[in-house]
Amino acid sequence: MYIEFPNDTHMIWDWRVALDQFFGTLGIGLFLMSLWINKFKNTATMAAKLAPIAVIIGLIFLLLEVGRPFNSFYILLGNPSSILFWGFFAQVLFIIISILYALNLNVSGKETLVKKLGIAGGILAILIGLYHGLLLSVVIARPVWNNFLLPIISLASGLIAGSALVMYLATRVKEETEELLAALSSPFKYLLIAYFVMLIVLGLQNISAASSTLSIGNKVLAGSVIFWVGAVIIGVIVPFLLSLTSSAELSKRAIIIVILVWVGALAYRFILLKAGSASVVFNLPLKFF
Amino acid sequence: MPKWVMVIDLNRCAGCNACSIACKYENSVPIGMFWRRTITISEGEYPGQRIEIIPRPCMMCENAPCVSVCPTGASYYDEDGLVQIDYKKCIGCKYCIAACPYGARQYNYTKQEEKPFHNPDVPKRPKGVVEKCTFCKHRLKRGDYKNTEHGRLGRMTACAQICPTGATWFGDLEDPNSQVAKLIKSGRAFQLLSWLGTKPRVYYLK
Repeated sequence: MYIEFPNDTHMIWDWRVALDQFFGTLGIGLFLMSLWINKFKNTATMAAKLAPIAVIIGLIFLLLEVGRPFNSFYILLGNPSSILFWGFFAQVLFIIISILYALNLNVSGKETLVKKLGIAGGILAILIGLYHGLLLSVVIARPVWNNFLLPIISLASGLIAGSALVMYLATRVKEETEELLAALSSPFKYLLIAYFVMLIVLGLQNISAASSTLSIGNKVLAGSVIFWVGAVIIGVIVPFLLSLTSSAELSKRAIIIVILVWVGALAYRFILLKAGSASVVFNLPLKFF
Repeated sequence: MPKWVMVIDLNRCAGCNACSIACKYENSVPIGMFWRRTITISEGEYPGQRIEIIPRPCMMCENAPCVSVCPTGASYYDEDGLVQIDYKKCIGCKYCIAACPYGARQYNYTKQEEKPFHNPDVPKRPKGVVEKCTFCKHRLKRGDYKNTEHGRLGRMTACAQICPTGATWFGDLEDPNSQVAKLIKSGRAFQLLSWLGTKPRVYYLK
């Protein structure tokens, strides 16, 4: 009971946009974590320096995806009603602010400036984290994307990817390792639990929608191994189980946790783009016209 | 100001795809792309199976999602209120393809020099932009319909001109004597996915 629609399996945005979204949210996660752990100076500085790099890598992947990247300056004269227009500006502004923040972080006499940059960067980071989900959730044409949960999941995904990396960075700074891992361990687990609940709700929403409206996109996500095994089990459940340990043991497992969380976050981004590509409302059965 | 609309009679449409081919030829649409696609919907199982054929041009929505999401302003409403694309401004981000509920937009993967023929009346599109039906804007601009009978205007677009069963009509809804105005008032007209609030300018007749 479907319309033959030749773009059913064709992805509008491919792995490059998944990587853009992943690195974009990783960057904001790192920045927010560096604000939170600012008393651990060495690790916080490393996280702050990596934050703009991650966002820049994300933007490079975005430019690789667009058809005419050298015309991107037209966004500067663009359309304020577009969320992409604001997201682009927010990311450029965030890169500038986060670079200034990282450069001035441990410079004496610049504490007031660092504090102001931290507040501005923090607000932008939260907005960018939400933006990567909002970009998809405002699309009324695609039932899988048109979901209020996506912005929150996007922000949570970035925070988890960032905090996992910060845990690994902490293991590289011996004098901060134990205390920082002890401080991060509980919030990381709570974040994973919140993220897990949101992913399950998203999965159940799609299972429910797939059975009631026969939308192809909902079926793609609801029945996807990439989603349930990649995003949920590898990306959340296994890292959660691995983090149920002492700080000493956690420092040995940190690299594995980072890899698993990143694989999960990428799997989530990828399957969301794939399912959304297949879920245009024009694919709905006749009775919906 | 005229309000250009298209009316497609689903009872008349035979699904011959002549409109898709005529559009492709008229607008020099690259290989692998169709601006006007004929979509087949099947419902139910044999012997109760039902087939519906829906020709799908751009709906030229008055509240077009593609225009509101375009980050560069490349998608815009022209002086007649029709949705058009400024190919110079288009960066090929494909957000409009994602936003269009009708799947009317397509991404151009073809280099200009790979096209065997190009109609000089339509703009050349570089690789990496998004394309779609224009309601044959070049014909409208050229004034193909002026000083002629309403029937001539009704067949102005390439798809309407070629349709062997006369299923597609084009015209000015503001003109009460136009064929499209009469057809829309017939009580058979409906718009696709009108519940999305896009206000399409393409009407279908049941």
